[in-house]
Amino acid sequence: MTEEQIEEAARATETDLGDDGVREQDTILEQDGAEVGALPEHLEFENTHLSEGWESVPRSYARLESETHRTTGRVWRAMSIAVLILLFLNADRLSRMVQSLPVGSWADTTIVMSEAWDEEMHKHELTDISTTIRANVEAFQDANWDDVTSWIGSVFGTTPEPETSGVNTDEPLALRGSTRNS
Amino acid sequence: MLFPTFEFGLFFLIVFAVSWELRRELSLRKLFLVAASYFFYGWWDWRFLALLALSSFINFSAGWLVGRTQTPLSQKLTVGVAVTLNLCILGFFKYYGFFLESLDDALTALGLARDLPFLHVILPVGVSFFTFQGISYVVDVYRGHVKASHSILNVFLYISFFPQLVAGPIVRAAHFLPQLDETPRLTRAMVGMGTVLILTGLIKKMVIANYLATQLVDPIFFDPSVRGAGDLLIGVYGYAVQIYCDFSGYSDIAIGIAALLGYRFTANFNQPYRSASLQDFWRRWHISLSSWLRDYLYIPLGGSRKGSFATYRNLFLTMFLGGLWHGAAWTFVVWGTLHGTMLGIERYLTRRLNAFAPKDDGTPGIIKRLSGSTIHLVGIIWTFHFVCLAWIFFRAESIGLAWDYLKGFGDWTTPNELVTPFLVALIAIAMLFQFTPSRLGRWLAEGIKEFPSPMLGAILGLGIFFIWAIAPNGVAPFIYFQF
Repeated sequence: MTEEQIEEAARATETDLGDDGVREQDTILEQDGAEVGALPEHLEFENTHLSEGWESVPRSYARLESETHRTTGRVWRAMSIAVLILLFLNADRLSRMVQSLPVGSWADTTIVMSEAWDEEMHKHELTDISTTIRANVEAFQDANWDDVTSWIGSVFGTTPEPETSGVNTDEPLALRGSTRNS
Repeated sequence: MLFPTFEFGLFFLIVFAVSWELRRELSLRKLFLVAASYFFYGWWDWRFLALLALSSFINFSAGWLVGRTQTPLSQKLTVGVAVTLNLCILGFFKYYGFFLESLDDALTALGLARDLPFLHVILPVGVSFFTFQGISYVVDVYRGHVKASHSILNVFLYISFFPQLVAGPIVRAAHFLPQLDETPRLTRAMVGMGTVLILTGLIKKMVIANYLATQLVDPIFFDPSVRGAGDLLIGVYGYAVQIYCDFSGYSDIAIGIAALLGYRFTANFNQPYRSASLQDFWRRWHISLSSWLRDYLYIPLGGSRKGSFATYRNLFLTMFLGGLWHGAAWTFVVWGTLHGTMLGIERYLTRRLNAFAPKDDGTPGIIKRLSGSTIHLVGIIWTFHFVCLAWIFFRAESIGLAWDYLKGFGDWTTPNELVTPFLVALIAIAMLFQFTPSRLGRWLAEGIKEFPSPMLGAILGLGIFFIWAIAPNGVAPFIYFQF
């Protein structure tokens, strides 16, 4: 029996037996390659009386099985999307990370491919986002307390610019830092 | 193989896909997970794979024997032999060098210097963790908390399961083994929790712990004698945050990865720096180790059942040995001794103060009267600073450097170089999350579990992208790998 059939059966029987009643006694019938349907609730089946080729599956099992099937697919799709996002936005970091792979033809190919990919992403300016974020973080790292005071002052317009800092506070803190770094 | 690396990302994608494809073939799935775990462990040093297998085999055999034999004496004997063998493995790899060096120093001091059989023993990654798990299995079988497993695969997987193999959390056999006999399930709730834990773990480790380690803690602890008191103060606060973020970050990722593979681990940290007493701290810090020490050391020693003196002795011994478990160095011994002593003092003072409290007449006792918010705040500040004091010994390379560090607090004239807005902000943000509602992570997970897969993918992808963008280059090893 395929996963889709189990899933379909679980969905169908849910409506018959209602809400959250996961009763171990409840069974659904299934047969390989055959149409699977729910059984009316008033009918009682005993496993020993089932026809050849049929088997009973606890309803809770079928429901959990179908949820697991759906959820693994969901995670798999989510991880694929995440990988795509990282490939497009973080190409430079990925190309650096693969440098640590053990030496070998497979690793060499991966490194060459990742470098080519990184260049391509650079051309399309997709790596600019991470560059900007890093520049801001570096600026914050380089900032001293005077910078922070004057930045707060410029934001709220309450604190006069300290003359000792020697920094042009018209520019945002991040920009100053990145300028200094460059 | 470190969690936040390209290799691990690739490894996990393969393990996730194959393990869920094999979910209906339980034995095959377990075999695959054991193989994957051995591959993960062998990535560091394949030579220690035999040690891991030997440890697993010893514990499986001991559990099987305990399950088969009926007489209490032979069961006790089997447990004793198994625990001794486990401790011999741990002792040789972890304490052989320390023991000989200490013996050499003592003999030299007494004028009895000898040529001792020094060996260059490499410490296998995670040896303490898998040894403790092995002991936990055998003792739990003996106590009847879990049935002896007839499947060698189950015991091998329990001891070597890769998310917790090298740095915990120390998983209990009674909690994990029953999960291996069930068909694995992946629910939306597990995915939500797994996603939140993995992302928060990455932030803690890659951003907060790595920045604090490289820009603050390592430079200060390298030579504390040249630093002023301000730098030293922020240095120890920084280390408190670094070790928390490093270790709890690893635990978060491990629990999250296990959840995505269909297994449940218990929490290992619960906002430890909000503790108002040292006893409370140990209920929130490295919970899997402190509960292990309680169940397999403190209680067998007699716990609090054999009178006051025995209770204080047992408390002290437990923390002392807990300190020694962290590493073969006098600094860890001092760290354990400090905690053991203070736990005893705290217990004594609490009992003395409680003696003033009237019993059963409905009026609040002195402790209750004092336990208002102000006293609670004082308790938090005192506990945090005592823990920080002990961290100095934990982090310092030697007792001498730790002493230099403490002496430096008397020097408030040397200018501070490392009290920068960036580092202060990192520490402040990390400390802020110690006081957020403890169910914050669960609430986030509740929200995420309802998201459709494209949105979940966007959260994962953009989250990792953002963490990588702000994190420093390179990935430092997790602190607890050395233990």
